[in-house]
This record gives sequence, C-alpha cells and structure tokens, in this order.
Amino acid sequence: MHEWALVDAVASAAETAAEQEKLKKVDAVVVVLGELQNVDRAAARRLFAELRKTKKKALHRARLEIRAEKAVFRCRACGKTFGLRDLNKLSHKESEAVHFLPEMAHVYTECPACASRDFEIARGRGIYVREIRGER
Amino acid sequence: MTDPRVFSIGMRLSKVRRIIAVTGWKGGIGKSSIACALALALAKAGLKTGLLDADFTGASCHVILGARRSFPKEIEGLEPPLVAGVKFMSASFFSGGRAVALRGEEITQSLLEIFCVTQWRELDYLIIDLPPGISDASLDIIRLVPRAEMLVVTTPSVLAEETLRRSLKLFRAMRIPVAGTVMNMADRNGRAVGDKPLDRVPFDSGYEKTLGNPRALAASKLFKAVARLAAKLDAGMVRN
Repeated sequence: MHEWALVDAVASAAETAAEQEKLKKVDAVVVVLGELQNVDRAAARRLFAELRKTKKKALHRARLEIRAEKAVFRCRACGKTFGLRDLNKLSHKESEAVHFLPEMAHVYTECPACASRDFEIARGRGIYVREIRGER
Repeated sequence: MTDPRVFSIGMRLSKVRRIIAVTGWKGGIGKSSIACALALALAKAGLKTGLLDADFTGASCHVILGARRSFPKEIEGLEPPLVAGVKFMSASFFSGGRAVALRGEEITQSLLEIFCVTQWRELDYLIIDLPPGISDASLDIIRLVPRAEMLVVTTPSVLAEETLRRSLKLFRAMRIPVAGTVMNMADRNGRAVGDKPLDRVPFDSGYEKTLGNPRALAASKLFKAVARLAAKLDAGMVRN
C-alpha cells in the first residue's frame, strides 16, 4: 500500500524528534493530512500501529492523531483562491495520480477563473508532522 | 511543521550501492539517451539497476525505453516496474501523456514524494536522469542525496564545452563527486575539456529509430560506446 511509505516516514520523523528531544516515551504524534493527497485515515492509523513497533522503544505506545486540512489553491496568474470543490471533477485514474503525486493537480486541473495551470498549492497538499508529545 | 519525507530518503536508498546522476547544462545534448543506455548496459552486465527520470517537466526516458504502458505496484510504497531489466520510475506514469507545468517548489515537492514512496530495495546502481542546467531538481539531488556522483554530458560544441567547464568548477568547489565526463555525438573534432578525461559516444544517425525499443537500442552504436563506459564506471576507472 502506498500509504505505508508515508506513515513509515512519519514514524521515522517521530523517532528522530524523540531522540533529539530526549523523550523517553512518545504519547502522541500529531499529523496533518492534506485533502489533496487523500490519504486513507483508517489505513494510516493501522499502519502507524504496526510501524511504531519497528522503531525505537520510545515510540512503541505512541498514538497517531490526525488533523484534516482542506486544500487551498492560489492562482499565480489572476490571484483567485479556490478549493477542490471549485475544480472539475477528476476521474478515478486522475484522482489516483494526484494521490500518488499531488503535484499532478497541475496536470489535471486549472484555475476556475482564468484556466491557468500556474497555481500554488497553498494548503492541504500532503502529510506533515505538526506536533510530537511525550515525556522526558 | 515537519516534513516527514526527508527522514525516509536515507532508508529508501540504504541498499543502493552507487548512485550516478547524469547531468549536463545544455538541453538536447543527449542526457536522457545516455542515462537510459547506461542503465540498460549495467543491467545487461548482470547488475541490479534502477533508473529515475528526475526531469519532471520534460520527461523522456519512458519514450526511449518504450515504458508507456508500465505502472508501479503498490507494495509498501511504490515498487517501480521492471522495464528491459531496469527498475524504472518516472512522473510520466502519473501524468497520462499530458504537459507537466511545475515551478521550482513544486519540482522539489515532487522529488521528495518520489524518493519517499519509491521502494528501490537492493540495487547495485541507481541512475538519475537530471534536467538541463543546475536548478531545482539538480540542487535537490545534491542536497537530498549527497553521495550521488555526477556523470557530466557534453557535445562537441563550444557552448556545451563552456558550460561543462563551469559545471566541473562548481562541482569541485561544492565537493560534489564526479563520476566522469562524456562527450556525446562526438566527431573527430571533439576535444578534451580542461584536464578531464572525456569518454566519447559517437554520433549515431540510426539512434532515432531505436526509440521505444530497448532491444534495438542495445544493438545501436550509441549503446556499444555507453556499455564500454558502464564497464569502466563499474570498475571505478572513470572517477575523477
């Protein structure tokens, strides 16, 4: 599953942060899941529960907290700000391509006002670690 | 906010013995052709080889290799398809043959994503085909994969040679390893540049007809010269 690699990266980032912050125990890893990449939440939780065991002991009981973030695009040509709902509906194949590589949004979508492909993904692109909570 | 993907790149490449980035600072000098032929030659020599087309906006390795119908498998990320014995990854798998218009930051994001999710597993060689010049993708490879060795391509043109000189000077100053320099489309007038030993790949008038057919490519004049270069690279003879 494609999500495996992303969640594994989250667990590795948390492991490194725990080492740097000298945390004996990580309680929670808070991640932001961007709407554009459409990562499966249930799969992410399940994978994290498996992958945390492959990392250092401090991470073994950590839970994954997920915050959703709406996708926001900003057109560089006309300045319009828009969201996923404002765009033409993607086919299953196109959605899959954006799921694997969110920058493919530039291939399959355009600014609803001026049709430019030159837009910025201002928010809600993919997966980020917002916070790691634990005990020293 | 922490981008977790950077923490996975080392792991994803941990079983790759050697990484060669094919670069050149002018367009149309045959970087992709050399990169594809090099990957094929290494694979034919029995070495486990991967090829990453890092030229997202001008991808062409899939055309050279005839990989239009291939697609990665979802196994702990994305498992690159095997094309003519080479594990091959390209943004072309996702762009459906359409134009890919990306700015610098978007190229960086794409490269991070590809490195994070691609499961190369055990490889002797990973060949990376870079876009022309020294901008986003090339600088990102230097930053994210510092052990990548540059294989610098030029042609018998004063313009290409001038940029080759500048690139070698910069790589030396930045302490970037250089695997070698290659003069593509070499003719009798091709000269050495500076003190760098150039490997020559002759102009191959029949090359165009091999596009999309790795078997035909492997029988070409270009391939034979690149196969000699691959053997030297693997023997460590080209390292400057």
